[in-house]
Amino acid sequence: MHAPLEKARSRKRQFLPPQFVRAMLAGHSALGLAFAALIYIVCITGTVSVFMFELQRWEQPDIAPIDRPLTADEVGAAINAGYAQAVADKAAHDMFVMGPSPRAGHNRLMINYHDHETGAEGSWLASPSGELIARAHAPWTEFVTELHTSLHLPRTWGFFLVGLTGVALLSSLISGILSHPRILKDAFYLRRGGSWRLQEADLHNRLGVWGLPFHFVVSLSGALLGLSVLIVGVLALAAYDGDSEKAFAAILGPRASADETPAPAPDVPAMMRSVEMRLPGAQFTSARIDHIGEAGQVVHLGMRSPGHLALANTYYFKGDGTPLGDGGLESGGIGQRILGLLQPLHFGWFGGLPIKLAYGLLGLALSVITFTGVTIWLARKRDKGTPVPRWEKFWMGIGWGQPFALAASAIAALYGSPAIILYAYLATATLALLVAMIAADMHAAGRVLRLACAVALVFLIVVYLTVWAARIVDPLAWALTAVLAFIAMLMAIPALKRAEARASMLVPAATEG
Amino acid sequence: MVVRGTGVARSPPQKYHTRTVDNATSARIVAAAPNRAPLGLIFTGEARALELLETYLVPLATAAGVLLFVCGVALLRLSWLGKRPGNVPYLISGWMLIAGAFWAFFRAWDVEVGVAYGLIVLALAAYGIIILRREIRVPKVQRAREAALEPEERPTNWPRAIAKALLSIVLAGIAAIGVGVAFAVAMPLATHDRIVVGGLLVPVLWGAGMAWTLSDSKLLRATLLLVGISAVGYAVAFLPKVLA
Repeated sequence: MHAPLEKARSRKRQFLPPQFVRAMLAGHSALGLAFAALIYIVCITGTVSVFMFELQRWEQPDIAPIDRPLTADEVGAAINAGYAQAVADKAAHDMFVMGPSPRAGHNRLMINYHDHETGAEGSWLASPSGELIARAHAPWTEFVTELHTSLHLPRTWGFFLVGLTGVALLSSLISGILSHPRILKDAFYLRRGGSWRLQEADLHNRLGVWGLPFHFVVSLSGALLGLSVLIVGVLALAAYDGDSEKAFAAILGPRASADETPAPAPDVPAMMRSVEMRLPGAQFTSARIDHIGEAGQVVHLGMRSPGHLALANTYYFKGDGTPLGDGGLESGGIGQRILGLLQPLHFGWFGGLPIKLAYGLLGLALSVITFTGVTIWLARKRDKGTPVPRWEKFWMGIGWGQPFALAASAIAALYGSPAIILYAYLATATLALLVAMIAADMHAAGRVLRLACAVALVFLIVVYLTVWAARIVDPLAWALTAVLAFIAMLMAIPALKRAEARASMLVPAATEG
Repeated sequence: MVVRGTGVARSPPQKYHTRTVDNATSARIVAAAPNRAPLGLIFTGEARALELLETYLVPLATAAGVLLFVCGVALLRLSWLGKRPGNVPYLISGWMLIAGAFWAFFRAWDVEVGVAYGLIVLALAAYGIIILRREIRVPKVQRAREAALEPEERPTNWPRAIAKALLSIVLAGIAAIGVGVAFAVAMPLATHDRIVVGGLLVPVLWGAGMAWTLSDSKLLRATLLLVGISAVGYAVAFLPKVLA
């Protein structure tokens, strides 16, 4: 049956020999199956993390957003208020202030401080005039972003595992392209409703190929961010006498010295003005003050100029205002500029809401690619007459169980304490797997879990409105709630339709029987 | 000169010649569309036109870019549907429109930001066209020519699988980090450039090594090559320290 096919293929000189493609496909398949669940979790939580700042606002909607850049005096007032609070909380060691940055979707003035020796810390939201108005409280956003960056494992291991997942994704992109000789021939095919395998393969390949620049950039930057501790650790052994701090300082700028003599807090407004004199139109984005109130303190001031992808350039100052150069993140050397691009390109923090929505869609596409990668393998097993129904149901449990578990964890964040969020997530993900495994088949498993997710989302909306409706002052909260309702509808309607269709198909069969 | 609709009197820069609209004409236009007067009558001189162009350049160029991307991808699809040589004009014009779309984005956002925006819009335009033009089929119909190549069937066992995992994850990782750190230590570039580029090399090389070791059926060949690369990489990285 395949002889004429092979003959026709051999007539045309192939760019990639079939044997090479088959070997590459075997490697692609093995790698995809080994890392599929991890890649899927990282992708789906990454898609949610793109909207991290918006979700923080959704979790605390009684604080009005700030839609304008801050003046130097306002930033100074916020730092003074934050420093006073840090002293009162006995946590005045390192301080980080993040101002509104509409391009990144951040519309708040946030002040964090912590003392890494005692572990004391605090996080506040401030008004534009610099007055501290409420402690920052966004436990679910924190939970999702930590799941994305470290899978809630101990930090070093978590970063490494997520970095390794990024490498596996990058490797899958490489082997995926090399095992796709019909990349041009199939460029626009999306065949639905025919063979299951062809349908899944079309979706997998089209989403993969046309979104390739995004997938490549996101997996490369993610892998680098995750593996940075390991890479810098080896670099430090080779060139910095084993001192990772020194190696990091070579890239990320000067660190505070050990001089603990008391000193006044740095005059950040004066530093901002000195940058503004050189770069009129530069806007404040953030300030990090290491060892605040000590003679060895160092300020990393983030100021953004228009026309660049980087969130900001970083300007370094001693505590007394002496400039120590800048990071060159906007217009320095190639290495410095790449460094400035990593975070905005990874999270889509460079073009406001439109780019974030695009990143949301492309992130969702990457999750679908991962999901269909496994379903192609499942369909191939069916085509060969060796179906694996348990694995089919298991994969549905992972695929549809994750959104369900995330929705359940959000309910836990609203109703319970932050400590139970992780347990709620793990319990729901496990429950989803159990439900999938006892379902009649994978279609039933998928349908039940989609409906469960829709119900959980509706419940989340009801709980959210019960808690917050009367106090919402941030209009984004309403918009995000509407989006959640839309997602619930997207989850429920196809599942209900399929259940209806299957029921109507079963009627004649039952009558005949 | 009066900019109608706003009621604000403005003088154009002296270097521009102005082209005014006579009173009768302006009254006619205002009477025809009183609510659209600001746009209808605003072009009272090239200076104002230029000023407007500057104001609206970003949204106009962005909208034009988006349109060009969509049309470009649509033309590429038409080319894909046709046969050579009849489809060549579609192919060329499709890519030209995409190039034009990038140019429009560069005008609006500069190259650095424009490239990022352009690639995102290109991907979304293609997704949109592919989804809109999807083919709905009767279940279980697959033509023979659509059959994809099957992955290579290989006899495998646990020791071999573990060896492959060690090769692709551990040894490929060690080799990639060795090369990346060697680059970061030894390349004659600025500190940031060699460290960041060396760091970027690690995931790329690791990923490529993973893809290669998993597809290569000869374990010994992959092992020897990766050990060799690691030896050279770490020698270059640590030699200056050893010699110092």
